[in-house]
Amino acid sequence: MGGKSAAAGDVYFFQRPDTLKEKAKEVLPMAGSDDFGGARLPSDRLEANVRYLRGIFSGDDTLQVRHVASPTEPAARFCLIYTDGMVDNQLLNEDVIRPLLQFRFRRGGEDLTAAVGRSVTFADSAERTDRVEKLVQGIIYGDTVLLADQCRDALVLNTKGWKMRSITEPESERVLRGPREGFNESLLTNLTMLHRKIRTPDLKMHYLTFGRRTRTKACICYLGSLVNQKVLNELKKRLAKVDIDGVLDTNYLIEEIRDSPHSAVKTIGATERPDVVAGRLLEGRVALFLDGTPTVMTVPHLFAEHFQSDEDYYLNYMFASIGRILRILAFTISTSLPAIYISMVNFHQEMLPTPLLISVSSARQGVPFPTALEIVFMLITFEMLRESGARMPGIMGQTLSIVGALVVGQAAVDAKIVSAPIIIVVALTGITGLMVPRLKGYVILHRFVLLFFSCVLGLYGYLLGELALLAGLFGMSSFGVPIMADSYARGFQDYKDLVFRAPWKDMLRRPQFLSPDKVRQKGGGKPS
Amino acid sequence: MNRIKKAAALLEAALIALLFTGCFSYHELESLTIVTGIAIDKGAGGTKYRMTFECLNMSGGGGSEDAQTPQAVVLQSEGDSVFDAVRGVLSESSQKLYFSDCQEVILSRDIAKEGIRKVIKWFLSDAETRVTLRFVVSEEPTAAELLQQEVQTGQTPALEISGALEEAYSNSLACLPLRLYEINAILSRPGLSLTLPGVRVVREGEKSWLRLGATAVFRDDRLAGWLPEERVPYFIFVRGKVNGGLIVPGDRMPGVTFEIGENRTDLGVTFSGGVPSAEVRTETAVSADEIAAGEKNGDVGGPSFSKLQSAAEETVKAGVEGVIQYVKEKFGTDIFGFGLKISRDYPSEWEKLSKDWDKTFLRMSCRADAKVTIRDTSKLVEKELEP
Repeated sequence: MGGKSAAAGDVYFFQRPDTLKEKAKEVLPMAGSDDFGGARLPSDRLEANVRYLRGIFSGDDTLQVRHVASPTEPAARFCLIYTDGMVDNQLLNEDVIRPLLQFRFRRGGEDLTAAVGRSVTFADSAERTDRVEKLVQGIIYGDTVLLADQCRDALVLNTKGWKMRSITEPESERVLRGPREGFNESLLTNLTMLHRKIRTPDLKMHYLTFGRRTRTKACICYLGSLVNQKVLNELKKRLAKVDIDGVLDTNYLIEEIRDSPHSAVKTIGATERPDVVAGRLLEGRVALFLDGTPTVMTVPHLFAEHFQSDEDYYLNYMFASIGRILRILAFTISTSLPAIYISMVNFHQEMLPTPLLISVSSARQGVPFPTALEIVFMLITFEMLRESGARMPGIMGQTLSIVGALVVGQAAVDAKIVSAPIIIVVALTGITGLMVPRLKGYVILHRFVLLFFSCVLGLYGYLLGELALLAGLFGMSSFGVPIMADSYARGFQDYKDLVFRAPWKDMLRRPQFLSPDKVRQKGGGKPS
Repeated sequence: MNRIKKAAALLEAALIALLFTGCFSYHELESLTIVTGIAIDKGAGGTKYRMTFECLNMSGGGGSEDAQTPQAVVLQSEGDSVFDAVRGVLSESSQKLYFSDCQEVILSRDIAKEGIRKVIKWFLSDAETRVTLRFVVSEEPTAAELLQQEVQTGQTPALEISGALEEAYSNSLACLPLRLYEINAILSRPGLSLTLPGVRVVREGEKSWLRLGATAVFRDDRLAGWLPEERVPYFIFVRGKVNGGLIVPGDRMPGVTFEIGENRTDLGVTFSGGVPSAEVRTETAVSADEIAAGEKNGDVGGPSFSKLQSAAEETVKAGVEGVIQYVKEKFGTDIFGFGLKISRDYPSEWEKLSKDWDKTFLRMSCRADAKVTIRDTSKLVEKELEP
């Protein structure tokens, strides 16, 4: 930092003779367009260039223009252009403006901008350019553009400094044990978090830009020696085709490039946790970071990943395995229970034991609606309650759930609008549905398809629907890898991380299909 | 576009096919009247059958407060065949009768005497009735009156009888309950005659209640007589269907009761000169649960361990030989399955015997050999725990 005691020396600069002065033809780009088509600064006159850049940003009041002139040499005139709020003001004052005012400028030597860039400013990055596009992008993204009189080039100084969210634990991916940090909205911060987890030059990172208007920076990350080249090439190929004017979240890209775009099953993973991204890269997957969103996408994404929680790997493996089995069970219950209930009660009464039949039958007495309609009503009501509860602030959410529980549960049964067993079935269906939050959307769809088939054809229809849905799942792939790939399990190493989680010392191989380098560890840790 | 049209047409066709052909067996539960028991009597007004259906009347329902135990309702109808009578009841009921939860069928004595083969035919072929249906014979003049009794512990008379049969099957030797498929199997081959549990009404002053009684013995499919209650346990011993129950030596050793843990029965048949003779070997593991003979604990008033054992063995042996003798004399029909045993072990001999098996059964000598192992005595006998 240039403090007050900063030694202010002499700086020599070259001044063009006035004869070179030319009449600037100020060509303004079309309003609203981002395409500068390789335009360059129009003039070497400070005022003309300032007017030109102001013209581009006409209607943007956050643009700040600060004129500076050296007290020792009137010919050394500068202009700083930056966006208010995007720059670190202290940095700008101490490292840019103060040295400009303190250094003694003398004629002779090099261009003024070159001299400033080399010998005056303390900013860590000072790029000299006359390309309008770079200048404009710099101004927009927190850099300060320094224009000098009698210079065709400008300096782009890195003075970025805006307020951003601190690193917190992601709300949707909380863990009881394990790393608590989550990504935030800054691409660089996110990349550093990954760098800190995987300290190897094998970690490759390539920048890309998306969005004709938003110019959002993105970064593809993978481990060079583990990545499946086919997947990587496929990803790059698809990303190259993306032509959208704005990218505000990873989902914009996901929906542009995903396989089976109209399926409710995810074929691209998303997470907000650096440890999850690191874990997936170590299995040979590819991650795509996007500036402005904490969500990072990973490919390929297998169906089994829905049931895997990052916490599984931080907890005791037996406990984690129980959790995983419960999640798979919950998925099955949540999709099948209403369908099976309908089948049993309306088609195959003989499958109910007599006491159960009597109790369900007596509960149904006086209920005006058919069971099928009842269950559809209640399932929709539950989804509404869940959806409204999810968007409500804490206190309101509580009120909502109490009213919902009272109205839906107690009152509806007492008023004989619905029968009591339906409430139990719907509640169980709903609760188990929440156990696999990543499959939320798909579960609802799967459930209603099965329910429809069961309402029409009973258990036969249920099996028919289940077969059709499963066949659909087995036919899907994610970037060339079948999403049910690890369901064709052949031996222990294929099961180790599927239905249960094996202890780390036994996870000798990486998941098949994902990486050409299959061996994760050779012998496994064995107590001696 | 063409593809979308094609897919839409396909979807439409599938939906129409589903919606027009599906739902054919869609029934709401409350539209079914659950039948829990059926009684079959002879028709009164010139028809062949008079059938009585015990149904559950679902009242209340809905909220938790008015959830009531369902009441039994009795419907009756007559018809020339079982199916005719079953259909006839529809004119009395506003709802379809539902038979899958029917627990048992009660036959009247008259129906049993006429032969039950034609009665069980409908139950065998109908889709709703189960092959696990149990059949009993009423010891009262009609079968219907059993379904009109007051209940003691069950919800309805039919459920009470089925509960008692279930208990008899696993915990007592009161009767040998048979299911429809077992009855059909017995009736369709020679060598074992049918028996069905009897149910009677016990009357004491104003009160009356249902009770499992004697066992109905059939010759082919017709009722031949009743095997008295006290002989039924040893009949079950011979059949090898003992799952539990008690051995009470009675006078042989007063105050002692054994509880049966396990039992294995072997029927051994030997031939000498073309005449078979049978031996019934039982091996029973029991525990002596009640020894009330001694004055104080540990003093069993004399009976030593081996005496206990021989008392139990003698009881079973005498019982088994007694019941075989009784059946020979009274009914002359093989309800024990000696014929079945011969047909399995000596098929060639059975060819000659099968035609006139009942007569051969009468001539056949039967011996019993009972072996009882006492597993424990609940510390009531302390000494002499010999091997």
